[in-house]
Amino acid sequence: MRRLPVLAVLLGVLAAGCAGGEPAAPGETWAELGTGEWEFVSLTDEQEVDLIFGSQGGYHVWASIRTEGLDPSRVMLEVETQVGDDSRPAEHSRVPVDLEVDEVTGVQQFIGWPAVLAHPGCAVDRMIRVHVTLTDRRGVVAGDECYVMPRLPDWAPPPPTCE
Amino acid sequence: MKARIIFAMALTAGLLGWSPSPSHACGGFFCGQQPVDQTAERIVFAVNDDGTVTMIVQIAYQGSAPDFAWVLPLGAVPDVESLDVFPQAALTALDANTGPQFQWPDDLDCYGGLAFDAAGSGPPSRSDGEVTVHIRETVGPFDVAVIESRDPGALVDWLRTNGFRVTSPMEPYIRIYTEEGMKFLALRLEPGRDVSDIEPFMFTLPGQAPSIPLRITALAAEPEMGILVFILGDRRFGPANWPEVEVDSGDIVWSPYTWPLETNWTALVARSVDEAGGRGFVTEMAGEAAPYLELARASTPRDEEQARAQEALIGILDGHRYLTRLYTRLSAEEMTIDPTFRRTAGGDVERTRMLPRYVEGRDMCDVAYGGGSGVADATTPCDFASCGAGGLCRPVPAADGTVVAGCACVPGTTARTTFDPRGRAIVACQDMRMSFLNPGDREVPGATPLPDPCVGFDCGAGGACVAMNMTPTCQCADGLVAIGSLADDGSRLTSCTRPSLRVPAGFYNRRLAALPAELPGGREVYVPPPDPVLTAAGGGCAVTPSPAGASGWLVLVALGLLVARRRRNG
Repeated sequence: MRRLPVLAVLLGVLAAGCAGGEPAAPGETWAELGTGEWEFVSLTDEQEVDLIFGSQGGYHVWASIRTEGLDPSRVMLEVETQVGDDSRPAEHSRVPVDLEVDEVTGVQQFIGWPAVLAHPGCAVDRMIRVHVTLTDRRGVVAGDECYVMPRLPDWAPPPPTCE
Repeated sequence: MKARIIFAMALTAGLLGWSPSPSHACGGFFCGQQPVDQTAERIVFAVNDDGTVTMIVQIAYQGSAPDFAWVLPLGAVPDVESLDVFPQAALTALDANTGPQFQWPDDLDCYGGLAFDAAGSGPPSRSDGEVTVHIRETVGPFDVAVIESRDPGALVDWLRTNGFRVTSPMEPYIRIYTEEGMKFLALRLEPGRDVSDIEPFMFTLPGQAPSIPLRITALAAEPEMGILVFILGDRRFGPANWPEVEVDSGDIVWSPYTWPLETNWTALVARSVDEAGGRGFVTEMAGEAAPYLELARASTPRDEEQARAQEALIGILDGHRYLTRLYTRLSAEEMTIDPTFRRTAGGDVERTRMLPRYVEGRDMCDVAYGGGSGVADATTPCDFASCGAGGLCRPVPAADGTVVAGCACVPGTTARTTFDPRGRAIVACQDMRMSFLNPGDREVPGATPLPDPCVGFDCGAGGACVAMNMTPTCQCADGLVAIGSLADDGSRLTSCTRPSLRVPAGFYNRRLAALPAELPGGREVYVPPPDPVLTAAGGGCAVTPSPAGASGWLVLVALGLLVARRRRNG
């Protein structure tokens, strides 16, 4: 597992980790990148994930995030995907989102962002890096990063050849 | 109007023609009295267990049969056996039977003398030069082609050579989707077929996550256009890369004097999406599909058309456990990202909503609220209007003594007469940058330059006509609002007039958001910078959004956008 450097802007930030990582101390900001279309699924580094083929084209993996310590309203979600060897340009997306908050645990989450692969033909059965950053309106930042291996279902059309 | 001439063929995701259609269909599933958004584009996705998605798209079109062409980007080649037409009556019935129902307040004071109920019940491919022709078939009234090329020019040439009209503004969009590796489904009418033969089209593709190629739709979108999406699958679905927007039932304004009951639901959806930044879907209904399947099966068709619709509905509902209905209203400048949908963990959403008795201090049940005339209620025309993100509604006294809704438009937008969900003429403010065909342009290479549709068009005193995609619209002087109507021949009229309630000066300090640089643009538009004096003086404008502010991430609100420009293509 590879960790992001600490991204402190206004408050202290600690990445919780791709595989669940070390528990954060009480009150610290942390984020955990996972997968899952409708519920959070934890990831371990180098885990296989489903490569989703959209009915209107494009390939993506589902990115889900759990975090704590952010203002959950209108958080800027930034997701970057890149072939693990950095041989291709990264694909970025940036969008304001509202985080769901578990009223019991206080854990915030965003489920099911389509992390698009710009070069899917270069990613199948190879490691890709998925990097996520959350920035709230106060400027508090949390993030995480995982390396995962996309697997294409047998029925899906193969992506364009990696050139 | 002229718009139909221009876009007669260009329509892409089928989001064109705007002639209001009958809102009611009548045994059982086909006998709903629920009003529907007559102007909405309807799309059905059935997410199948075998890794495929069946898509049904309504095709609305006005124009001549030879000019009809419809082009849709696809991620994969559809199963040729799946290509079919789908009865319009089946789509209308699905809409009418799943749409919002509104229940009167549980308050006896609301029922005095008013006792009506609102609720109703892959073959081998061949390479043709640089273009791969995956499918060329006749399906119903359509000549259908599924083609692919890495060269957008070759693809456009193939379409034109084979009789599929492609307008100049479509070319850059085709280039974008071609670069993304998309295929194209193209339809045209077979010789001898009439536009009345046009029906929704269905096909099945490999894929898991349904998506709408909305960017290309911007070419011909009406302002505040309704888009209604049904998703059949194994559980509830929602937008993945767009926000899911909620509408508070406590904000629903309704008029007890109307039948079918009129509410401001669609306007609320439009405003809520605008407030969410111009993108979002409202979940109008989510629940088990089985009751609808049973209702369809139990219905007794009255004629052959209903029998065909029944068979089609049963065919699409059967085998899918869950139905989600999503609705949005968008303008062209908001169609910058293609929405993708995903399964969600959300629970059922009831289609029935309880109407509030009081909204913003107004008693919806007070029949004498409007002046004791016996026909007035607590509503105003602006409750039911949506002027768009760049508009502000103000009431206008009409010549016949009634009051109508008028729209003031911010700089860079112009008032266009369009249709509300009931098919009545209304006005909405349209982003002037989103005009892709303008006077003097050539619709296709070698064609005669387009005339100016504003010639002879009267916007009234204080109004100036602006051609938007070859439809006349009106820019009104500050302080004036635009109202819309239809001429006897059905053409759209727009005129500027003074409202009965002043437009705050600060309203005109609002500015359009920047548009994505990577998307093809329409015309260039100069938008003056905000006037600091006006800003200070216009503090009473409740609708002026506060700019980005300290958070710094409201990048779509162009605080620093002194000149809003889009590069014009071609």
